Amino acid sequence: MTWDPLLLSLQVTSAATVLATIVGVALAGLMVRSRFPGRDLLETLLTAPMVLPPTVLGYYLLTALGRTSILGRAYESVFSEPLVFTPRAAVIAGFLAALPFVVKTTRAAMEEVDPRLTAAAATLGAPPFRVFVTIVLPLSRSGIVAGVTLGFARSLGDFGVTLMIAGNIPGLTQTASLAIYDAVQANREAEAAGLVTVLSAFAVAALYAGTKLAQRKPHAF
Amino acid sequence: MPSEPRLSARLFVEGPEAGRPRLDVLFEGDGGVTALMGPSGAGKTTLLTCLAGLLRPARGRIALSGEVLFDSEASIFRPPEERRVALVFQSLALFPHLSVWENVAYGVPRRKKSERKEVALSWLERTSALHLAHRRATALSGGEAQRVAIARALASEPRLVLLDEPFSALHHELRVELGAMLRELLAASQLPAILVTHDAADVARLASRLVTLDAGRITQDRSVSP
Repeated sequence: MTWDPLLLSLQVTSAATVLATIVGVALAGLMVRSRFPGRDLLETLLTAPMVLPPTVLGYYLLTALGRTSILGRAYESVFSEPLVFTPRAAVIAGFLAALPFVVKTTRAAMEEVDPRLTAAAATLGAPPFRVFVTIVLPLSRSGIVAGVTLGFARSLGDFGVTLMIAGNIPGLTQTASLAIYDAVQANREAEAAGLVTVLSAFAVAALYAGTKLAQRKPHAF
Repeated sequence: MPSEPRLSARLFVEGPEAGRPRLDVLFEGDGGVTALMGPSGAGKTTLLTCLAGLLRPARGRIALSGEVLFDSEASIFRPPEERRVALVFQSLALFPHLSVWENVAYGVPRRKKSERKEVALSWLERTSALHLAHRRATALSGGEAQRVAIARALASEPRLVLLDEPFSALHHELRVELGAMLRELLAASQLPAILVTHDAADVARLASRLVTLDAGRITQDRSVSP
């Protein structure tokens, strides 16, 4: 069996998780710190990928990012290649799969931070961004870690959205989840079993590490 | 020409019922410790949070050392981080993820970390808490945490110090000892301070003036000899 799909899965999922962490923590911070109109609508839209059928989300993304769409054409004029049916499209699928987990758990953790601590920091002269970085972030670290590991595990297992916008091109966009499907269809039992075992081990290890990390006491960055 | 007092605050905060404001006061003061007493719900903590900038009154004006911090008519509202008004919370609100010296250094207005640490350590020395410098803020007794909270407030170079029942959780001997320490530190700095308390002995030990609040209004304002 070939290891290419696994390697690709790890690369795609890592990139997707890093993106989802940066965007997710920033969005959660924004939603906790400021009460802008449409905050709940934004959270609903961000959470939608958790419950939408993957084909529906994939359809939206194809429409929004396809070669004839405004974004797709803009991307193509900058990078001289299409975005859909490339590994980068798989990263977008993984990013959207991970994002709701990061946003939801991070927001919940940030809302748990004692408001007297952020008030005390402000009276000691710290402007809002410094309060966020030095008080809110470290004190919600466990929640962030938990959300990121959940997001990583979910992103690793993404199937439907990846298939819709990145395709199932062996050696280019065929991630491990897709390779399992192909192996089963083609009766390559051993290959399917091998990939299933490795993916399961990764997911369980990620969740276990996340649980362990989340238990550690918060500490200054 | 009569000089303006160091602190002048006219504050009106709406209450949940119309016609019964949570706070409606004109509070003025110079150096020295003013004790603030009154039943719970009288508006003592509301007054402190307005002065610190954590609550925006519906109407009024706050001026401190000649600088306007709040003026509803001129739409001026300086946020807490620009006021240099230190507030010692009843819960103390020490940062649990930082060490004692990091807590005290947090508000020291210096750029370099080494300078901030130096200033923090000197304040810990003045509050007899230097030996705690490297402890976690969560690993302190009530009296130790109190010393650290006072050091942290004073190290931020405030122009006004607000203390919300800082000694409420301490036993008698510690109240006396910390009260004496606080009085000396405030006298040395000549800072105006407002101390919310329920304890007449605190007033006698620390304050030169006693203001009583009830239902959001000042009902008594007299000088006391510390």
